[in-house]
This record gives sequence, structure tokens and C-alpha cells, in this order.
Amino acid sequence: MSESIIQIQHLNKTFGEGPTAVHALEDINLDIHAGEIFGIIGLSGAGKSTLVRCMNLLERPTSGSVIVDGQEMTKLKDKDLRKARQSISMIFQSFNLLMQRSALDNICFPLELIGVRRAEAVKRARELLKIVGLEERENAYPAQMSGGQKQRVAIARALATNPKVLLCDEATSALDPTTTLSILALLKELNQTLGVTVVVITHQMNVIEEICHRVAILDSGVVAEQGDVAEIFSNPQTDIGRRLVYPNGVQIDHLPASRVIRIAFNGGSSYEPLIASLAIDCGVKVNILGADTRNIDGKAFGTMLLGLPQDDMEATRALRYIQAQPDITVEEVPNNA
Amino acid sequence: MLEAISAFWGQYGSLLVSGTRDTLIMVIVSTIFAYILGLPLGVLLNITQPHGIWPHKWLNRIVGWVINVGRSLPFIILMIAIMDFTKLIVGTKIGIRGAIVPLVVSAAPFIARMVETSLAEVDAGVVEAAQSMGASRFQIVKKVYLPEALPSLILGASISIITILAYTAIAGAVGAGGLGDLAIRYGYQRRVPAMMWVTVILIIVMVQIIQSVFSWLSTKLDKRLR
Repeated sequence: MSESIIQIQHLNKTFGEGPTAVHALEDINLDIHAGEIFGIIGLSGAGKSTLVRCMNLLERPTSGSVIVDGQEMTKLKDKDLRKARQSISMIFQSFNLLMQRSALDNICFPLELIGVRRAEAVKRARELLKIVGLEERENAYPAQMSGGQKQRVAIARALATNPKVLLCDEATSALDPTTTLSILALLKELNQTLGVTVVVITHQMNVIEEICHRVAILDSGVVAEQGDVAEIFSNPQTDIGRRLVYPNGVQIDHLPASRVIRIAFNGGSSYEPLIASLAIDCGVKVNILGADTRNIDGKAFGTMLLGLPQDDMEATRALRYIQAQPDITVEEVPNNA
Repeated sequence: MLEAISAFWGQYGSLLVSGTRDTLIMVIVSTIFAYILGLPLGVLLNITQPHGIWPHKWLNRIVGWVINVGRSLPFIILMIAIMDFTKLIVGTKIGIRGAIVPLVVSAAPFIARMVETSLAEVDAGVVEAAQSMGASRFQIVKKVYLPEALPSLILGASISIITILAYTAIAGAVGAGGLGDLAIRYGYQRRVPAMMWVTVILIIVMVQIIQSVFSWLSTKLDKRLR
């Protein structure tokens, strides 16, 4: 489990030369373990897409080392690189399906590239369509499918060659919240059943929270912090970390003196009754400092920042009450007393 | 009226049939050879661009320059200018065979540009996806660029063919045969206006048929339109 599959060391990527050069990535060091779901999050322009493209050498790093499955990618010859890419699949924000091919033929495509016989490729493609839940749509063309269906076909296509790594470049960013959840669930399931290592690039915190084991926060081409998702969420160390973890618009510097907790709704009870029942059942009034919550198919998702009462007893009672709720995780925002 | 038509047909019918046949032969043969030259050139022009799958600055410039030169020469001048070359290739400067060489030389650069434009319409993301799967450059051209651009390539072909058809009429001026030759020799020099109008109508009908068939084919094969 902890064996590393992608090791990035001192990676730099610069576009252009001289005074107009843009340093897209600076001294990136990452160690992604086999079998995990690793998230890379950052605001747009942070260099996430460039970083993920350095993993399969779609972008050639200016300097540094990229080792995938024991192979130093930057040193491979063209032919060996193409072979290596067969075990590093990628899915994209805009799906990038071949528009003139049916779902089935799109999935056959990577198999054709390596010379798999048609009958065999079709058999494998049908299996994959079943895995992603689209066996009824094998003859549909991308133009006839919804965004979620297209991404499912793209995932099936990415899995055709039995890759060890699946790179997801903003794979859910073009999808609505409900479809996003279903795609994330699929990725999670594939990670568990096939053991494929998943690298998720996103600007959406909920994507990380939903499926990732570990996360790296990228800010202006630099890894600001990295670690277990639970740790980063409960105690972000950097400004960018706090900005991403806490709900939009909360001014971290201006939190009240009392204890502050961050609660995350993971698809259970609706959030309004929680606050109300907290007041009714415990007699504790909490202060909503910020919230970024969504109702997806009648379930609550998102985060909320609550200011607990000054009274220590009351605060503890409220905390216990919230902790006891299903599908809600609570973390105390530290260093705030 | 009927008698007039029958008299006209009796006098010129066989000329019109053979003229139409010659025009069709020139158009079809020239189109085939012009595509054999122009299609790879257009592909080369596209893939050697700075952001293409085989960036190659100098090759791109040279191919682009050759194509521009080919396209800047008016057909009638090119035809006369390369007569010696034509004789070297097909053994004659005149007739259908003599016309096919300049037609190909003139249409190939035009086709190369049409092909380049069609390939440019292919989504760069799809090409990137193919690269991420380990596709070779040749595979990307064969399995991504050409099939994905097919509807556009077909529409481009109709424009190319109609341009070649127009050139054959010009080639008629220097004795290449075909409908253009009939229009000039009989319609203009021998003052038979009916001959002029009949050839014009025949050419219009050909253009209409070519355009309809290719448009229909392009739409039929385009899987994006469903």
C-alpha cells in the first residue's frame, strides 16, 4: 500500500525564456503511493494541469525527475515513452472522446493502438462498458450522450489497457453536482476493485474531501502543503490551505475569540435542522460564521464554520452533539483562542 | 422547336457527349493525383506547426512557401509556364493528358490548404488524449486526424473538385478538349450561341451534382449531427 508509484523530485517547469519566462512549477516533490487516491488542489493558474502532464510527459519538465512505476520518465526514448503511457491513463475535463466513433469504438481505440485483435478488443470494451454502467449505450456516439455518460466512456477507455495509474485532470469540473458525485463514486469503486492508483486534479475542495486519501495543495507553482486529507482539513497550515478548506468568504483573521469548529456535511441529514435541533435539544446557540453548502438530491454537502458559545460547558455540549450526528465530520479550528 | 433541337443534336450531339466525357476524365484523374500530392502536404503542414504533433519550423516554412507559390500563379499562366515539364511527364503538351499535369500542379497546393484547414478543426484535446494513450504520430494522423476531420475533408473535396472543373474549362482554351474547348471553339469562334449555352448548362449541372452529393455524404458520415 505504501509502495510509491509516482515519485517527483525537484521538478521545475518553465515556459519561454529570458525575462518573459513563466515559472509554472518550482521544485515540486511528491510521492504518490500505489493504490491510493491522491489529490492535487489549487486555484486556476496554480500549475495543476502542467504538473499532471509532467507525470505522463505530455509536458516535458525543464528539470527534475519523474519516476513512474520505477521508470525515469524523462530519460525514456520516444518508443519506450509511448509504451510507458499505456499504463498511465488520463481522463479530461472536456472528455476528449473521438466524436466520429461510437462509445464501443472509443473504448477499443487504445487497444487498436497496441494491435489487439478486433474481436478481443470488442469483448474487453463490452466488459468495461458494463463496469461503468453503460452497456446499453455501446452504439451511441458522443454527441448523443450526456456529460456524465461521456466521462464514463472516457473512464472505460482509460481503463482498457489495464493501467496502473489513472490521472484525472479536472474530470468533474464540467459536470453538475449530482453527476460529479456519481463519477467520484465510480472512481472510488475502481480504485478499490482494480487497485488502480488515482491522481485527482481539481479546484473543488469537495472532490478532495469525497474521495482522496492524501492531498497536495499547489499555489503559484509551489506545493504549499501536503499530507493526509483529514489532517489538512482539520488543520491547514498555510493561507492558501485555509482559503481552500474554509467556506468562501470567511475572513480567517477575523474569527471571534471563542472556539470555532468546521463541520463538513457528507451527504446525510440536511443542515438546517442540525442548527435548529442544536438549539432545541441542547439549548445551545451557535453562530454561523460562514457556509458553503449544497443540496444535492436532497442530501447535504459542503462545509460550515460555526462559532461556539463562550461558555466552555455549552461549547463542549454542542461539539458532542454534532459529533454524534451521522454523515457529519467535525474539526476544531485550532489556534483561535 | 423540336425539329431545331433534333437538328442541333444531330450536328453537335456526339461532340457534346465526347466533350462531357473528356471533362469528366480530366476532373476525375486530376482530382485523384492532386489528392495523392495535396493530402500528405496538407497533413505535413498541419503536424509540423509549432504546436503540432511533429513541430518542425523549417520544414513547415518550406512546405508553406511552396504551397503559396503554387497558389499564387493563375492557372492559365502556370499551364503555359510548365509546358516543358508537362511534356517530360506525360509526353505531350496538349490534349487531355497535357491538361492533367498543370491541373494537378495547380490543384495540389489548393488541396493542401483545404486539408490543413480541415485538420485544424480537430479538437486538440482529442489529439492530446491519443498522445496520452501512447499513440505514435502516424497513428494519430491515421486514426485521429483523418477520421475526425472526415466530414470537413469531404466538404473541402467538393470545393476542390469544382475548382478543378473550372480549370478544365480554362485548359480548353489551349486545346485540352472537354466542354471548355467546345464553348470556345463553337460557341465563341464559330458563333454558335446555342453551343455556348448548352455547355454552360452542362457545367452548371455538373457543379450542382458534385456539390449535392458531397454535402449529402458529409452530413451522412458526420456522427456529431444526431
